[in-house]
Amino acid sequence: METSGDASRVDLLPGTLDLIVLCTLATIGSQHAYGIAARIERVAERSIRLNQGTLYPALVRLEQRGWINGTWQTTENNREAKYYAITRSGTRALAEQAAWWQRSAGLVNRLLTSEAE
Amino acid sequence: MGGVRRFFWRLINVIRPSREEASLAREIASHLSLLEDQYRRRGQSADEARRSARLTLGGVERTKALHRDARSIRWLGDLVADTRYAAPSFARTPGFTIVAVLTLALGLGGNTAIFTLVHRVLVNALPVTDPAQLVELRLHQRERPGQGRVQRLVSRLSDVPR
Repeated sequence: METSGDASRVDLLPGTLDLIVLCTLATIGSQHAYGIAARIERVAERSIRLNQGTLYPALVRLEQRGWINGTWQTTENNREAKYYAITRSGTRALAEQAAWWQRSAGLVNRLLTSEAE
Repeated sequence: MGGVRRFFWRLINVIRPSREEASLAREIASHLSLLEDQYRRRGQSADEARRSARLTLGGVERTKALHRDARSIRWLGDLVADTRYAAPSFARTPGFTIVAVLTLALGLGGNTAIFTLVHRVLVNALPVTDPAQLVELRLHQRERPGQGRVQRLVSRLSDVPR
């Protein structure tokens, strides 16, 4: 465990970032990497450590799987940015992954909170 | 399904490693300018904003490396790059190449031959006193001749199961 000053901030579990990005895109619609990072940080209320650059491998993995799709568009401040949108197979994958995550997280939770019998 | 698709794209990126490099550079530049806008709105100077943006991203080169590792298959890409580098130098010095290949081939062949022998004679020898006397007993089904199963190795007729 980290013992530095921001010990209350956690690193993301490996493998969960893809699910988080997919879920974010399903919730807020088409968005660029900066927007996704901003949204994740807002939802997490500064409780995670996120180098925004680590989103890029997740975005590549999701795009190569055909779960998201990137297109170049213009932001409201007239900057160009690559916007990602979740695809139909991405929506299906999100449902499966979320169910899997809830099952395994629920199991760990039960084990942690169960009292000795 | 997604896994197969991803494998295909990763293979393409092994063959053409720089295929997405320009688009990635453009995307990171755009990300940095969005971050700089954010820090400038919070009152930082242009220089400060540029530095903060890079810190929040976690380094441009590092991000590019992460992207490369995810979009391609690193060890296969390295292998392709090494081969592309090595092949011309082998072609330039054919004498050396032939000697090196022959040396390796002889070494590997000799090793394999000797190990096979040792394996047969010492490691994998049958646990009986006189292996030459062993008989292989096959059972056949009348309807399907030729498809015998090795039932047992016996050395004395009295060992045959009834």
